[in-house]
Amino acid sequence: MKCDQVRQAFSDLYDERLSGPPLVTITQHLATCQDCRAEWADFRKAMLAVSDLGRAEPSLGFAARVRRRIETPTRFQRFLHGFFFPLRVKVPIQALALLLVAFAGVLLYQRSPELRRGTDLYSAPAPPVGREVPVTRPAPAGPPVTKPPAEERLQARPSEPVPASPPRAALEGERDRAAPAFRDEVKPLEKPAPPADVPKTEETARESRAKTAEPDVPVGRLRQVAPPAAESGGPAAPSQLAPKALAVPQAAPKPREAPASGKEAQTSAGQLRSADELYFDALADSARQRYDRSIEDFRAFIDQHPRDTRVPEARLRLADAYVAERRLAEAVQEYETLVREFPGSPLLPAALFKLGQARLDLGDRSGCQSLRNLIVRYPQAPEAALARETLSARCP
Amino acid sequence: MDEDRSLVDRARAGDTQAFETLVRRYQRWVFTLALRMLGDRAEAEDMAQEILLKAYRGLGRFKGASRFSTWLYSIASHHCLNSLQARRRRPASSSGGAMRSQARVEEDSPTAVDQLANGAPRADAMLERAELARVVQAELRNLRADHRLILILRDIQGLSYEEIADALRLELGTVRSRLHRARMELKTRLTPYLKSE
Repeated sequence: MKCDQVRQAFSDLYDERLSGPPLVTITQHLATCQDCRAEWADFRKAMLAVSDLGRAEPSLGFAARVRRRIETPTRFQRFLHGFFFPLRVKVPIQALALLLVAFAGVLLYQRSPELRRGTDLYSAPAPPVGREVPVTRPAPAGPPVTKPPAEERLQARPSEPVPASPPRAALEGERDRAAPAFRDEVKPLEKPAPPADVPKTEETARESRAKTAEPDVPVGRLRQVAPPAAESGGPAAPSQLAPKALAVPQAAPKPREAPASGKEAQTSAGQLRSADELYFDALADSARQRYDRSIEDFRAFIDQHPRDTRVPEARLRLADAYVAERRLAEAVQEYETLVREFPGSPLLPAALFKLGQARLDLGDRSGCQSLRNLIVRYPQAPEAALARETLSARCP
Repeated sequence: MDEDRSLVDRARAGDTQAFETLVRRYQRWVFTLALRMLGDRAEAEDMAQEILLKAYRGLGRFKGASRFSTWLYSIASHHCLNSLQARRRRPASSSGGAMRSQARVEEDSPTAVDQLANGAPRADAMLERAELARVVQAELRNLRADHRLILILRDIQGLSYEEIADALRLELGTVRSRLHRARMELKTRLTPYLKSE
């Protein structure tokens, strides 16, 4: 056996795990090999030195300290214990806290209109506009009893704070400004029911609107002379209309002076009528040759909406209606007013021509001067040619 | 051993007194293992406490298939190896720990020092033994942790190959070969000191 093999067996030899021939062979080799014997001696000394280290005793009270650490609850156990125990104290406290939180939540909900309105928006079964339809339509003969929607809501819920209404009003205003088509849909809700003797006013209004969109006589002729205000800025200027439409339900009604007829009554109730309604109703009446009604509506339109861009055209048509009614003096007065108040209006050639004709019809020779003025100021206008013919025929 | 089982059952039921009895029975073994692995008494006490706490919290997993001592040796051995691995990942603290250990190795021979103070006979021999113990402890710490552990379990704690294999969950052959390599390495390291004696 070689020395390396013998030295590999030192550990087994030291632990007395060798027996039989291997033990004999190694013992004989150690007896004959001095180097291996010295190595074996060093090995045994080293192992004895390790064994001599022996076991060590921990310090006194080690076991008691271990027990204390075992009995000391962990931080998590302390938290759980502190949170739940003693149950007879902690459970009522936690239940009370839960009740307080729930109460605070309910209180917050009740005291916060925004929260309530938010939930109302999602839970309300019917839109408020639909509810107001029968309310906003006044009775045909009686005084207007319409309540503003905001006021109605306030009465329905007296505890609700006042600021609840502005958002809706603002919303309606925004709606009117942003979508004229929508405004047209809302308009019938605010329009008073027509009296029995005036059939289908809305239909006629729509018809007249359609007519203004097409060239027609006499409207079409005027549009050829100068574009009507309805096109230049009438319905297309909702910013002017929206505040009036909004102001209608909230403004105190101002009855007109002594309405003389059903039409007058309608006009009286028509505090709620918008500029559009008045203007288009007047156009429709004029087209149907109901000049008396047309005169009333144009007059009401001019009186109630003096800043409307369609006032020059309304005044011209009002004068035309007077002419048609053979009320020439009033027609002359309206033409003169138009020429005086709107000297830059594109309707001026027509106004001057008609003024001249009306004056001549009245036997007033100043009509010739009006026609001459027209020719001088607007030589290229179509009315200038007509004026020349009239002058040659009636002002020799 | 049946007494261990009954103590374990009582401790598992929450009887800390029973577990304290088990601690008293095995504290020396656990502390020695920690001390020889670490070389520092204070650290060894802390580690011994951690081992015993771990055993207490793991009593529910002790099924009784093996003896309680084997189960405890296993816990202690693996805890020592894991702790040393964790320390090796912290170089700053480990270097400090090594210096402290070097200083405190001398404290690990209280018996010799006490005997010297008491004026015991053969004072030179006692001093030599204390010095040798310090050197052996220091050289032990230079061994690989798994080699050191197997050497301590066999040559200091006196466990059999089979018990070591059970505790470390190793094959007997692996235990035998590792133990041989550990012994030969330590013998090589200690030979200069042993020759000078």
